Amino acid sequence: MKITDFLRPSDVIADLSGSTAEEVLAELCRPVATSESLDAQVLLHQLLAREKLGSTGIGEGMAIPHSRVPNLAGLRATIGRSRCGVDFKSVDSRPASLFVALFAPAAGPGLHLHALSRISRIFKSRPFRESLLAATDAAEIHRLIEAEDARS
Amino acid sequence: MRPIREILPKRLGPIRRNGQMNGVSKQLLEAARADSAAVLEQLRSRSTGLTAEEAERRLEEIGPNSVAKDEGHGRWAILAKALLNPLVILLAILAVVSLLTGDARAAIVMALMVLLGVTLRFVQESRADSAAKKLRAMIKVTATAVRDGMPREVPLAELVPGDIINLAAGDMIPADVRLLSAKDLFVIQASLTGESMPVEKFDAPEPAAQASALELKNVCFLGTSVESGRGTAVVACTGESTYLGSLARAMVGQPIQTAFDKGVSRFTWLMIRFLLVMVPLVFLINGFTKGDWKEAFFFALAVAVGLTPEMLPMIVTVCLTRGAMLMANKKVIVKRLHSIQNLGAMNVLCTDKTGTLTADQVVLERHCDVELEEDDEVLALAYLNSHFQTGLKNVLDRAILAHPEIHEQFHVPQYRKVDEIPFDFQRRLMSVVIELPDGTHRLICKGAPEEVYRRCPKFEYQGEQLPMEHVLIEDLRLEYEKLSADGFRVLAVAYRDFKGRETYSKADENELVLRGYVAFFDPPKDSARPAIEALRQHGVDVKVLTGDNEAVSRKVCRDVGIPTGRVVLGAQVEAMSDAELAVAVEEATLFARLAPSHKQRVVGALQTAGHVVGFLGDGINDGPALRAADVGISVDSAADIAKESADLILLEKSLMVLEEGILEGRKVFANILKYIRMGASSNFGNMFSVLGASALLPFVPMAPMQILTNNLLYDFSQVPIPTDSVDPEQIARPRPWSMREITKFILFIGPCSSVFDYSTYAMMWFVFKAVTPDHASLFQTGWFVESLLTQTLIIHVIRTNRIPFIQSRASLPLTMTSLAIMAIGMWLPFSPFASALGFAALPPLYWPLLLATLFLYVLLTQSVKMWLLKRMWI
Repeated sequence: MKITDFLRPSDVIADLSGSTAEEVLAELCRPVATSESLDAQVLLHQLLAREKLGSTGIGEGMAIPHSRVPNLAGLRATIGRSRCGVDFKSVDSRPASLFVALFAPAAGPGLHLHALSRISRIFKSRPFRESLLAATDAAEIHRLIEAEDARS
Repeated sequence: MRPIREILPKRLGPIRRNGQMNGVSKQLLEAARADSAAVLEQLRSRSTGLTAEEAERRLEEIGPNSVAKDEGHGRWAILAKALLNPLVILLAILAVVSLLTGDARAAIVMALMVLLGVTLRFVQESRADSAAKKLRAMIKVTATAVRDGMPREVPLAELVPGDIINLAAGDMIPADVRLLSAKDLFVIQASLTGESMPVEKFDAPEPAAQASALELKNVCFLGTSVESGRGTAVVACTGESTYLGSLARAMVGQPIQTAFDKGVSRFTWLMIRFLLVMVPLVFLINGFTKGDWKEAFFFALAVAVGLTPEMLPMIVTVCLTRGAMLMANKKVIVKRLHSIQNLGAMNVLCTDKTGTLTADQVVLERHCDVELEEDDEVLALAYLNSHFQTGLKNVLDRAILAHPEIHEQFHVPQYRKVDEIPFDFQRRLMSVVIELPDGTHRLICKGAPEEVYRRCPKFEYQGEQLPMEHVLIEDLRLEYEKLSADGFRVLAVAYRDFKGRETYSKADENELVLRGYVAFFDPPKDSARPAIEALRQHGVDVKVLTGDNEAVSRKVCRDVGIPTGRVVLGAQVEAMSDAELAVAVEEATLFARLAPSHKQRVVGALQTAGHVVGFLGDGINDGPALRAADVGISVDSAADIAKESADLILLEKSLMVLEEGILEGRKVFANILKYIRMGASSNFGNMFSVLGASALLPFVPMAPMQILTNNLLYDFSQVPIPTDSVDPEQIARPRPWSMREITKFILFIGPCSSVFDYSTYAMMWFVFKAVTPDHASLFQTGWFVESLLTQTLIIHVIRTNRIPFIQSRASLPLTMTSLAIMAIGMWLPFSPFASALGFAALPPLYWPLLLATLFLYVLLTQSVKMWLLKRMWI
């Protein structure tokens, strides 16, 4: 499974403008809502519900909000970068600046388990995260992910 | 067999013995220090156990394995008890005095009365005693001993030194034993040391110098219990030569009193105080006013006997045993008689969930992977785990093993068991290690999901092992919580592969791979809802205390009609202050995820708040709460330790059964209370009458002989009280012992009888002109008959809160006895015994006046009773 299978160049937000967790999550929902013709509010609601169980901020500036969504055909993801960082109640209490939002179909087998596993693994690499933070634009971010995806 | 519990008092604090090897026999010490082979030789045993013949011979030689002797329950003890009571002793003295003064007829009458009194008591008490014995015999605890090379269930009392026994989680240690093998064996020694943490025991010999007996690591003591693990051991000491036996001798008569015991003893002391004031006073007044000090002395003594509630112990015993027998018919076995009253007074019942609210017919409903997709491999892992484990097979194991098709499908015989790590309540999981056909060792672990999760850095999904990333844990948890929320009991299944080695321990239960879940369903019982409703209507609140998780418990509670507004969890109980807990236990009806100590604390908090608390449980972990509760209730199928800790045993685990028991318990209490009310108020009234008459009259108002006769007849009239029927409203609510109510009753009802005693004095004095000592016997006869008849009649007013005879009638035996005693009372002055007892014939006009007196007396007492009831004073 490759992340770029479900993360298109148009799903990259190089500069998130939100300053709260909810604003950021809303931004992350938009590309999927648009391309899949889904209600952005529903997506946001699902992500927030998952955050309630426990923050998806895994520390070191990284967060992987995710949820299962009704009427979604396949896996979808968006990635966003926040220049100044957002408080995400992460395990290490540090603000999060890289967000990978994952949306999985509600029905069918648990595709998200593999996807989340994959995302967690790839984003564990500090140099990789740093390169993403240093990237100039969305296109570069997508390219870097593609490259990292291909390596392992 | 005598349950250990009987000599191991409830709520006994820790007994600490600071002395060196106090109470530990030399035999046990030698066994502790020798190696296994030497121990067996020393005890003339072998690893294959004794033969049945050897065991029988030793049993004869050494005696039964029971700690306390049947203290004083033999026929002779009962006879002694019947003889040694004030009424009998005084009657005997009077008989001797009469004989010496040449009055043989009076002596014969009195001897007859002694005989009657003693026979009555002896018959009643023997009956009660043999009934109690029968009840005790209905509950048996056994130990697994190897006899003739085969493991057998042997009654505890029949174990002998040299027996080889098997120990598993939940077992009572049946004697003082020396371990021959032990596998993660943890023993709770709280009953001996007060320490609640389990202690690990091993099979290695002890070094010669050892600090304290209870620290012997290779010895398990009688009265303690296995918390987890298993082992085999050889019995070193039994019965009185055990450590507990040595303590028991020091402990006899120490049980902590129940509210009921305290109440009865307070009542008795109240009566004794009456006596201490009255008797000298009566003696002095009569001595000074009449000058006949000998008569004054005997009169005062007779008054003393009259005021003694000598029937109380017998009425209590007979009421309790009768109640216990009736309860036995309703499938409730009473182990401690006095707990019957607590059962009736209980207003909060704490119960576990499994088996009481649910059918306890757990079925395996789901076997699935981490995404809840059905997965046969998960079932296979669970099956292998349950199949190969040798510990206590619980309902979940049995539900898994109820799928025999797996046995073939997964070719179980091709696996070899290597080792197992037994269940305990700290880990809440257990593992089995098996060898796969390719030689790999696979540890299969199943247990509480939270616990398994902590040990799983990976999970397996669709054939792929994935790391249990932090971000994933909540998602995985969500899945099994879905199952829990549906009311399933969920166990997680995980595994880990090893290259072969020989033994495994708890330390190997990490780095596991989570594989999936098995989910069980224990459907709510149909009878639970009406039973809970019935309990509630009878004033008993039901609270559920369970070790199970919140979601499962909530669903079951909803299904059976228990409100689940506020749920308190074990961790919260732990964190709460006593004050916070006091509020929480009143509000919440469901307590989930409780550890044994939490259950105990919840029970304690309810007790502190003034509730009489019952606890119904059957697990190993229920022992402490069962002991702490006012009424510990268990079931026949429960773990040994739970049965030993309980006061009552239900032959059927059902709240319906319990409800009937509660009503029976309240009836018993109601009848005991009747006696106390009657005895106390008539005594109190008599005090006024005797004092007044002593001061006013030139002769004693009733001859000492007559007082004793009166007393004996009155005692007879009360014998059938235990058989009496009880008005429904008297058992509708829990009835705690209330000294306040009893005192009010005595203070108001007692003087009613005095009013009519004085009216009788007036009648005898003014109407029948019995004014000089020559006419004393007429006066005395008149009062004797009035006194006996009013006392007998008043039983019927006091026994009910309704209108006697019209709205509520006594049982047939009580009515018949009352009639008979009244008839005897009226007949005595005309009988051949009349002159011996100093009676004179009563004039015809006496009888209509007596009838009027009786009628007015009943009327007055009834009115006062109604008034007291209206003011809610009784």
